[in-house]
Amino acid sequence: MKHTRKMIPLYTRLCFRRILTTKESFLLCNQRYSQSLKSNPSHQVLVSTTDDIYTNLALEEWLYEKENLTDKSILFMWQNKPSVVIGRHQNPWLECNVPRLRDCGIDLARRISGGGCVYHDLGNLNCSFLKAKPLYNRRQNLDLVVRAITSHWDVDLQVNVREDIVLEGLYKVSGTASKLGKHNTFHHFTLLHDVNVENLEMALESPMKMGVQSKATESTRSRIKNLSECDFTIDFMSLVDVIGHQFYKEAGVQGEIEWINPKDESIFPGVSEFRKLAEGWEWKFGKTPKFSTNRTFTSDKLGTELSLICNFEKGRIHKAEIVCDCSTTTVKDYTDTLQRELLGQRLCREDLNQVLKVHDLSHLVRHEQLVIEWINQCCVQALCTGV
Amino acid sequence: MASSLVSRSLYRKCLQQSRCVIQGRHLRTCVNRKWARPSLERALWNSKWFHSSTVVFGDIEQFNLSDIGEGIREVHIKEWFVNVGDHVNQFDSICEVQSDKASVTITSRYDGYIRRLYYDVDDVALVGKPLVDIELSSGSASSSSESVDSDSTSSSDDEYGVGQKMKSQAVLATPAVRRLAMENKIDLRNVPATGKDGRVLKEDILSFIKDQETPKAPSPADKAAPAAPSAVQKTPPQKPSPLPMPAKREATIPVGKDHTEVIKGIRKAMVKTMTEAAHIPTFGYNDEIDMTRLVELRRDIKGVTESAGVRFSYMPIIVKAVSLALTEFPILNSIVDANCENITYKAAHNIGIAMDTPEGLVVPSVKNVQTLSIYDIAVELNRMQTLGAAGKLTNAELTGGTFSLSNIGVIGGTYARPVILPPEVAIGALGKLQRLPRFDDKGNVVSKEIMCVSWSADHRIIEGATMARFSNLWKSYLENPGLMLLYMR
Repeated sequence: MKHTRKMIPLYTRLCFRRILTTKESFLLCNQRYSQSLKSNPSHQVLVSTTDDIYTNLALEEWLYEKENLTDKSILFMWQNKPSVVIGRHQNPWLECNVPRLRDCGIDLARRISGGGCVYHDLGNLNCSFLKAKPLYNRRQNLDLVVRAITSHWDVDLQVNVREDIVLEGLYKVSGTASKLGKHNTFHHFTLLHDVNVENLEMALESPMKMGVQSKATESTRSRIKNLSECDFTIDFMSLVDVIGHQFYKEAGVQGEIEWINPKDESIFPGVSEFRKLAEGWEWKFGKTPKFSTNRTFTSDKLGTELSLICNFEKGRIHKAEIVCDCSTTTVKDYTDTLQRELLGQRLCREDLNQVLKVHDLSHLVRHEQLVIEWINQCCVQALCTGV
Repeated sequence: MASSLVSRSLYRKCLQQSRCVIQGRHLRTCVNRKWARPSLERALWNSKWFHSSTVVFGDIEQFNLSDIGEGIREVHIKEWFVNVGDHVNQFDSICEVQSDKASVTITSRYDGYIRRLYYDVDDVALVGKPLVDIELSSGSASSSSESVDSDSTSSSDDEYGVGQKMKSQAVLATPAVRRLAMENKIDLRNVPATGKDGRVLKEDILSFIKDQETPKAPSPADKAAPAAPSAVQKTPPQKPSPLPMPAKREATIPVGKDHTEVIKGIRKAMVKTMTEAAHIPTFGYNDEIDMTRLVELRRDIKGVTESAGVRFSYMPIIVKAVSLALTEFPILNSIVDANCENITYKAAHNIGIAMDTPEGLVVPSVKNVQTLSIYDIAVELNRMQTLGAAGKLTNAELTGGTFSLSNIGVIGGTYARPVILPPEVAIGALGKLQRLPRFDDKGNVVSKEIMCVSWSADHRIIEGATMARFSNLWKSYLENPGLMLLYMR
């Protein structure tokens, strides 16, 4: 495997003139990152050794918030096990299949940059260019990557007007997003080289589309194709190598690709705090912009109609209006109780399970039992959390 | 600094009630501008003893939305981190905006209190226009409006930032002192006052000038910088600088200059197709169709289809008419090989419709039109239009066409000269629908809905007469929709 080959740290060439002992080299490998700050101040290529989406996003945020980029540019690359990443101002329920992701064990994360929703797995390379604000230039970064890939493989890649990298003029292989702060900025994008397309389509198919009004950023769907379909030698390791070296080459500096552990508190103090926030429900779902759903269900068998209007704020039910045209008092009581109990509940399986559980209805008339069960099912369907 | 002649609590009350606070040497009163008699107000305004301002303690600074770069002129406000009345420090985050995938955190340039938010969440904010109003805290400097200022790393200790406005009226000073300050371009608020009641004296100005000429020591890191302490070099003693120029942005395609790029993707495919088509000897045949009865027919049908959510234009009917006519002239529904040695009469009528998508010109085809009803064709066209706009047309849809139509009339034009898409042998271009005067059977001038059609065919295979007869048959179907009903399968 390429990544285990020993890469001679740059500073050894500059500072040390004797052969290092095994112990020293081991210690130096651990300190490689902080040392290289001084030896190669202007440009760095970092690659993550973990495939946990929250850890990788936490490190990217750490670099953006804490690192001084006045005279430095960083290219950070990583890959994740299957997960879905939504933009800062997106609505996860509208962008992907939230209950299905839970069942399949696919992580859902919200990043701090804008843009649309993407599916990640090990066949998806993420690149993040962290630079100071005066150097922020998305087009330049994408052109760099296109030049790097086209110079090594014979693929028809270009950057289109929406700043997506398109393959053969038709297929999107990359989605881009960026974040600008007071001094630091980053521009990151994905690169599909061998992603599982069926999983992608399953994950990004939202069941909660009907009757929803939302001002959240919507994703633009496009046809995709994997780079490995053009040339099977394109994979994570080769892409990291090619893009990393192109980055150094265009900067006109010598440098090595650094493999780092994003969880290492000694190099990145405070990164675990970012990770904890990234994993929390409040960040992932609570940051959803306001939206509302308006559904009507009709049952010919029972001869009733149900109207369900819910307003959601910060991922919680802010207002619920459940009206059933069945005139019996028990049903009306049930809908009123349901309305009251749903208020303030988080739109997540655990919270809603308690409210929408099946009650004991044996004391009721058969028709009413059916109506109440049907109302329950409709609510489950409308709220789409897979209760 | 600015001396106050009314109490802070009174001032706050006035501000909240949008009253004007009038201060003067002899009169300390609060006049509600709304109710002030016009004559009194005029007198007060004109009087040299008084000056009025809505702000006593600090100026209200309009903080404009600074240039984000990339030629972006408007953004969406996504989240506010402050409310009216909150205190913000310099470099605190005010709001988050988003513009086409870039999420930008806007930070405050001043210390002060938020007095007004110009937008709500999800509103569109314009770059260069006011975003918030901040009432400056005493001592807070106001710098000139937006631009990328390279010395923004000045520390928080340094309250006398670059590019100060000259608003000396709030500070007490004699006219001579004011003139001296103006000559030396000094803001009186920045000068430490040693006189009675915070008055700035001539000696203060002179010592301030002397201080400015000696270089200052480097300041500690400012609080907005990353946690890792970095030694920030303090900028040299500042003289008020002119308005900095906005940063030059690199446009992707420079305006007014030559630009070369490699032709790739869909455009490259189009180059290939059209180069091939150039070898086909083509002839043209044009005609005009009286669509009056079709217009009436569509008016009746439109309501029905649109209630089912299907957009119904004239295209489904035109496509079906083409298919009916092709049944009588199967040679027009054939394909030839590259050397024109073999001709294949295709059984399926796969009619391609030229579409202008964000990616370029594509021609997806509706398959087996001979078996579809007009409603089916309408549904299929809707579906392909949606997919085309989203760039999601599949290969199956883009290949296999046997006859093509281009509805260029939607954009404009009457007659055209469409280019055949090999290996097909014919193509038609439909002009726009116009109301024109024509003669009827009795010789009267009536208004008719006229659409022009331009056919192009491969003269190696198709004769002019064949094309003319096909066009006449097709035209008869459109001019008399009842005939279509007669021959529809």
